[in-house]
Amino acid sequence: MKTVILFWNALLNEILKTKNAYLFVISLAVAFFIPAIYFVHYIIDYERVIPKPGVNPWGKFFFSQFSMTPLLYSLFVIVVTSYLVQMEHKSSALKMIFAMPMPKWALYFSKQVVILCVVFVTYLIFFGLILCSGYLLSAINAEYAFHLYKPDFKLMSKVFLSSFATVFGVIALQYWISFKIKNFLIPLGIGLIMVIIGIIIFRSSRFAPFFLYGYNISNLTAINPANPNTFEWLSSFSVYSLWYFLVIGIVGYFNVSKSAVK
Amino acid sequence: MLVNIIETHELCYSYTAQKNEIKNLSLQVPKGSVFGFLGSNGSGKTTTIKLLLGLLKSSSGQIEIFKDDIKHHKLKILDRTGSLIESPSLYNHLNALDHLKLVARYKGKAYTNSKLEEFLEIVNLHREKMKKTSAFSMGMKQRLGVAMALIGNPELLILDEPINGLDPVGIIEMRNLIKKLNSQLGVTVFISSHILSEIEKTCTHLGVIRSGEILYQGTLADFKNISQQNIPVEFEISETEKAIALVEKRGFSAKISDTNTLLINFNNKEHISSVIDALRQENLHIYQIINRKDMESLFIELTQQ
Repeated sequence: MKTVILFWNALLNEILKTKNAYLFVISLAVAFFIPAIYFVHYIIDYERVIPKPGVNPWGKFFFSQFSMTPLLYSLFVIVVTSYLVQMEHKSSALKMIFAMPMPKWALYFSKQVVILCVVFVTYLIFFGLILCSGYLLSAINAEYAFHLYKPDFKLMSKVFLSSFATVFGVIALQYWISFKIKNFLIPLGIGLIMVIIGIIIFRSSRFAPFFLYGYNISNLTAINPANPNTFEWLSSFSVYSLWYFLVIGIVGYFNVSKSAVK
Repeated sequence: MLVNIIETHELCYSYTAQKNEIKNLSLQVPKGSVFGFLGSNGSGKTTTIKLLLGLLKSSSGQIEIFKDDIKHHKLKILDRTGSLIESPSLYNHLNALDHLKLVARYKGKAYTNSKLEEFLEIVNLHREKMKKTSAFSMGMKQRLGVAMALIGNPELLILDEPINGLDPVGIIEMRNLIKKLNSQLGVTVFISSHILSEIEKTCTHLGVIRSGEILYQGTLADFKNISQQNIPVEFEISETEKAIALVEKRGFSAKISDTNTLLINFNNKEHISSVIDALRQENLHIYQIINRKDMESLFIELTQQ
């Protein structure tokens, strides 16, 4: 019980630290970006995007937007992780925090949980906006036909969960790097380069399973809208990512907890 | 018998393999004291404080706080300790009250806002409770840092250079605050500083550190009384040539240090009045007498040996 209270207090503190920060503005901007572009695209290219009679428009609408996420969301995850850890470096707060009567594991993992929550909420808003923009398009012009069909919620949830799971490993690694390197730009630069490498090598069946920065885009290739039951809830890349998260999380924690606070 | 709240035994620490930053440091801080930890920049004060708070792990030696070993009872010790290390750790986007909430939660204290405001009142910041710390002056930041250190009513307060960057008014406020915490709340205060005059005005006990080695520790009064074999006293006098002859005739070494100023070295403070009497008997006018054996010269003597 005491452990739960300690972790809960650390978690509440991490949430408090995001108050007045630009984090939620960035999250909203990222979540709105793709649906907003598609909304405008559907309005402008009205003739080309109107579905043929009897065709459910949700599949195309959803997957075409989802296919845009790997680069944007991978970068978002890296920025959020670096930003939240940088907040501690900028305030020279680690020496204060580690001199508190709070176990180091609670201090280390509570921030990681907040990062995961921020990314989860951003994904959730993104998916919510896709649905809202579809119905809004139909309200503007019934020919878009979104109101006539139901979205495939199971498939959407599957895509949502597997995609979210692919960023876990990246979060754990970026978090550890950001903790160790005080400079904001270095972890950001490392993350950016890694994402670009991930985009380059995701097609390689030999390397892609090992390179966690490419999992988000590799996960896309594993999802086939024509055959949605390729995997149940998580793709193999999502599972690899969760393993990476576990291992890097534990190694990172022990490394940080043993390090001197200079 | 005085109980020591902090005791270190043969403490050693090094950042690199080449140099030992802290060398066999054995420190005793009595309970209820205001202990000034004095040393020049880079002497090892902050490193010692970080060792005391468990932020650094000593290469050898032992640290006992509240009679508990920091290695085995770190969280228990930190629960009874408040600290301010170097500059206060403040988040620019949060207000003063938010900072107190953070520390209260880290210390597992379920304080209400009004209770937290009491801590702001102690440091005279209660009117600024909703102000973001980015708008705080250096003095306000330091005071907020102290308020944060006071959360949980610690028995021991460790303050690293608390007057750094403060203006004269801020320095006086901080000095009064430390004295108040010690006398009214019974908090043992451990202050590091490189400013001797501040330590002299605030502390009851003193530790002098140089290159990671403790050179002196004890009460401030004892420190002032040490080295009585050589007391330089400056006399501003009417006829220095005549005075120098008179003084040397009595067996004291003297030299003219400035126009109308004579520096006489005594080996016993009892001799000072006899020299004054002798000078007055010769109708020499004494305008000013300054004891140059102040804490500053003692400190320099100690740290530059």
